[in-house]
Amino acid sequence: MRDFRKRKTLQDLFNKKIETLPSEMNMNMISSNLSETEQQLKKLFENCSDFVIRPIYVMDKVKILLLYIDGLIDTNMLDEVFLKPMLFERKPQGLEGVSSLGQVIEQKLIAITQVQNVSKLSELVDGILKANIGVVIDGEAKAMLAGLPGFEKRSIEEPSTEVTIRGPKEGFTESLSTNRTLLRRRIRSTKLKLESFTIGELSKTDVVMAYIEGIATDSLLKEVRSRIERIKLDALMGSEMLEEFIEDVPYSPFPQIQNTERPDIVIANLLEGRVGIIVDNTPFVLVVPMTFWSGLQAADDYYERFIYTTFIRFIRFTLFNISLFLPSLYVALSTFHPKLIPTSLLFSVAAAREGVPFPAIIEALMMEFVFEGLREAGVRLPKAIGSAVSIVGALVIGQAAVQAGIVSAPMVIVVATTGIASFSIPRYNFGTSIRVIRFIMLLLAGIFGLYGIVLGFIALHIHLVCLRSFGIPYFSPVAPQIPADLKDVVVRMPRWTLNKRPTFLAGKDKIRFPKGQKRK
Amino acid sequence: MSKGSIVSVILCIQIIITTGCWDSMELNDRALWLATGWDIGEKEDEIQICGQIVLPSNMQSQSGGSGGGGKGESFIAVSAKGKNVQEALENQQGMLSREAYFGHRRVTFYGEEFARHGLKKEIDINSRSPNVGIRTDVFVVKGDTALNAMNQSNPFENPPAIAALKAHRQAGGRGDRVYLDLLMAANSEGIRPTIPTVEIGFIQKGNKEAKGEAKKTILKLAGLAVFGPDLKLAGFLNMDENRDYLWVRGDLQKKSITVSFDDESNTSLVLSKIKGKIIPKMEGNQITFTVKLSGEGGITENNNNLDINMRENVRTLEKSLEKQTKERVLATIHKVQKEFGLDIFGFGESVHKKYPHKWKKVKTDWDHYFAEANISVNVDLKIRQIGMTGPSLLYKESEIKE
Repeated sequence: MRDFRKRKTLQDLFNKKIETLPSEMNMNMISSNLSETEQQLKKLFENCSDFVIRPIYVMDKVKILLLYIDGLIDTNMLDEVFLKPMLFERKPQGLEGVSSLGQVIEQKLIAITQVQNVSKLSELVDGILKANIGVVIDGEAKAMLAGLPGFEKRSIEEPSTEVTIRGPKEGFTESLSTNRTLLRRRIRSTKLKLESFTIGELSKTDVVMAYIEGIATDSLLKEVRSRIERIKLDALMGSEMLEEFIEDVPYSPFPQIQNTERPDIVIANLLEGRVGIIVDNTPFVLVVPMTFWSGLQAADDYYERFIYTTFIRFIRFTLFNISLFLPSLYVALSTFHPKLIPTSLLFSVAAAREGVPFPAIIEALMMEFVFEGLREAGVRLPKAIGSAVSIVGALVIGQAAVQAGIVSAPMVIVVATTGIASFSIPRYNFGTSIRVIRFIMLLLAGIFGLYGIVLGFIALHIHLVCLRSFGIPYFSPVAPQIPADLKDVVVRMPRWTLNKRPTFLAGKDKIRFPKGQKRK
Repeated sequence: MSKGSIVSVILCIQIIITTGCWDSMELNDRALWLATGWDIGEKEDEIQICGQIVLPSNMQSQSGGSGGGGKGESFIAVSAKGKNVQEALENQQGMLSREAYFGHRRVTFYGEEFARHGLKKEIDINSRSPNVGIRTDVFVVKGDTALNAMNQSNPFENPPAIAALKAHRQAGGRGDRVYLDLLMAANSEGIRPTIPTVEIGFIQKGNKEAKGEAKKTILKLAGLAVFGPDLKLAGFLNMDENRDYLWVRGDLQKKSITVSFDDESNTSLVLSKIKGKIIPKMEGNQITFTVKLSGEGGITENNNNLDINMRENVRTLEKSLEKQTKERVLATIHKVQKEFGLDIFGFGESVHKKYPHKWKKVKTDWDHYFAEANISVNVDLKIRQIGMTGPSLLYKESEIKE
C-alpha cells in the first residue's frame, strides 16, 4: 500500500510539472506590440545559441521579425524565397481586397508552399522548434509559420539489418518525412492513412501510425491509438522506447512487436491488416501485431520463387529448433540417456570426451558463454578489429581448447552449429530471445535430462500460446488454427493462391484480388 | 508479489535442488559394456560372467592428445565369478574404475558348457533390469567358452563384439531379434527355442602351414543351437540347416541355392524375396503339415549348356531347383524330428492358432506328436533375373541346348 501511495505522488508531481510548462505560454496570445513579443521570445529562448531573430523592414516601413533555429531550416531557400522578395520587391500590385499586411506577406511575398497562421505564442514557439520560420509582423496579433525544413539528414541507404538478395534496396532513415514518403510511394491511395501523434513533453517527437483503411480492423486501430496516447513521457528517444511502453507482456522473452528497416515489409504487413508505427529519429518502424511465425519469415521469402522459399523455410524452422535445443539435447543424451545415442556414435563421443576435465553441462555452459561473448565483442568492436577477434575466437575455442583437452571436439561442433543456426533467424530480436531461452534449456537438461527438456518445451509452448500481441494470439494461425491462413506460414504457396488476407488480422476488406489467376 | 507466490517459487527451487541429477553420469564415468559372456564357473553352481568393455581412449579419435603412444586394443574383456549374475557383476565391478553401463549391450554369448546346463535360472536378470534392452543378439559358442570367444579380435570391427551381430545380419539371420524370440519360445508350448551359434575358426581355411598373421583365428557363424526343456542345449544344426530352419519359420532374409544337374555342371540362384509358411491340417487325431516355401531371385552362376534365354529352360531350371530344395528342407526337418524330437520350427504354434481347442489336447505332449507328424514341403521358386548373358559364354553355339 505504501508503495502505491508513493507512486501516486510521483505521478502527481509529473503531472504538475507538465502542466506548468505549457500553461505559462498557453495563456499568452501573441500581442500586437512587436517589441513585447520580441521580449517574450528572447526570454523563452534565453541561452539558446542556435535561435536567430532577424528583424527586417518590409517596404521600408513595417518591421517584421524572422525567427528560426539555425540549422533546422534551409538558409539558401530562405534567402531565395523569403528575404529577397521581402527586401527588394516593390509594393505589389492589386491589393484591393487585402485587409492586413500579414495577408499581403502571406499571399504575395512568401513563395513557400506551407504557410500557417497562429495566434498563440506557444504555437509559434513549437512551430519554430519544428523547423518552421516564424514571421511576426508589427501591429498584428498573430504570427505566420512557414515550413522550410532543411536540416542535415542521412540519405536513403540499403537496410543493414535486413539484407535481401532480390528485393528493393531502400531502407528507412531517421527522418520521419522521408519514411512517410517511402510508404506513400508504395501505396498511392487515400486509403493509406498516416495518423500523427506527438509524444514527449520536451522532445515533442512525432509518431505516425500507418494503416490502410478498411483492411486494418477498427478494434486494432483503437487499441493502438489508446496505447500510444496513454504514454506520458518527457522525451521519446525512438521506436524501441515506444515498443517497451506499448508491448502486451514486457516480461516475456519474445518480442511482441516486430521492427523493420524495410518499407516493403511495412507495406506488406499493412496489406495484411497490421499497423505500422513510425517514430521520428528512428530508422526502425514498428509493426503490430506480431506473430511467432513472422519472427521466422524473411523479406526474401517473397522475392524468391515459392518452391525455394518453402524449402528454405523448412531449413530455417529446423535451424530454429537446433539453435534452441541442440546443446541441451547433447548434454541430456550424453549424461542421462547414452542409450539413445547410436552405439558407434556413442563410441566417438566417448572417445572424444576421454580426458575432458569438466562435466558436459559445465563444458556446454562454458562454450556457450565464450561464444556469446565472442558474438558480443564482434558486434561492438569496429569492423577492422571485429574480424581479428573472430579469427582469435575461432582458433581459441575451435582448436586450441580441443587440443589442450579442455573441451571435447563434439562440443565445439555442437556450439558452432548452434551459433550458425541462431544467426539464421531473420529477425534479430527474435533470435536474441531464443538465445536466452537456450541457456535455460541447457540448465534444465543438465539438471533433469530429457525430462527437463520436455518440461521446458511444454512451459515454452504454454507461454507462447498464451501470449498475445495487440489482442492477436501470438501463435496464430497455427494455434488457434485457421486452416485457410496456413498457406503462408511454414510453406509459402504460390502468389495466385494467396488471394485472401489473413483472416485473423484483416477487417472488412478480406480479399486481395480475384482468385483463379493462375495462367492456364 | 504475494506471499503465496514467493513460497511457491521457493518450493520450485527446492524441487530443482533436491531432485534431479540422480541418474546423471558423465560418459567418462561409465564403462560402456558391449557384450556379455556367460560361462559355467569352476564349481558347478557358480557362473562366470565376462564383459567386453570399450576403451574409448584407444578408439580412433581426432583429439590426438596422447600422441604417438601406439593404439592398443580398443576393448577389454573382464570376467568374474559368482553364485548368480548379480554377484558376479558385483565382483566384476571391483575391477572397474567406472560404473558398468549395460544400455549398449548388443551381443550375448553363452559358452557351450553353460548352455548344456540350462539357461532358465540365469537369464531372468536380462529382462528384469531396466538398463538392458531385449534387442540383443544371442549366440552359443560352439565347442568353447564365451570368454574365449570374447577375446577374439576382429580386423573390421572395433570393438569386435559387433562383428558377430553384423555377420549374423549379413548371413540373412534374425539379427538382434534373437533374444526376443528366445523369450517368446521359452514361454510357449508350441515352439522350442533356438539360438544361433558361433565358433572360433582360422581365418584361412585351406592353408595348413599357416604361420603368423594367417594363423589368426576369428569368430564365425556356425549354425544353430537347439534347446530343449528347461532351456538346456540339446544339439546343433549346421549353417545350411539353419537357413532351412529360418526359411520354414519365415525369418530368412537372403539365401543362395546351388543345385547340380549332372556331375559336371551346376546352377546357383540367389533369392531375395523369401517367404515361408506352415499350414497345419487336422483330421481326427491325425495331424499333417504342409510347409509352403517361396522365393524370387536371380541366377548368378549357370555353367551348363542350357540357353536360359528360353522360357522353357528357365522353367526346367526352376523345377529342378524346387525339387532339390524340397528334398533338402525335408531332410532338415526329418533330422530335427528324429535326432531331437523338439519342435523348433513352431509347427505347434500353427496348430495352436488354427485349432485352438484341439491344441489343448495335444500341447502337453507336443514334442512327441511333432516327432511323429507327417510333414510335406511345397517349394515355389521364381527366377526373375538371369544375369548379363543368356547361355553361358563358355559353350560354342552348336553346343547350346535350346
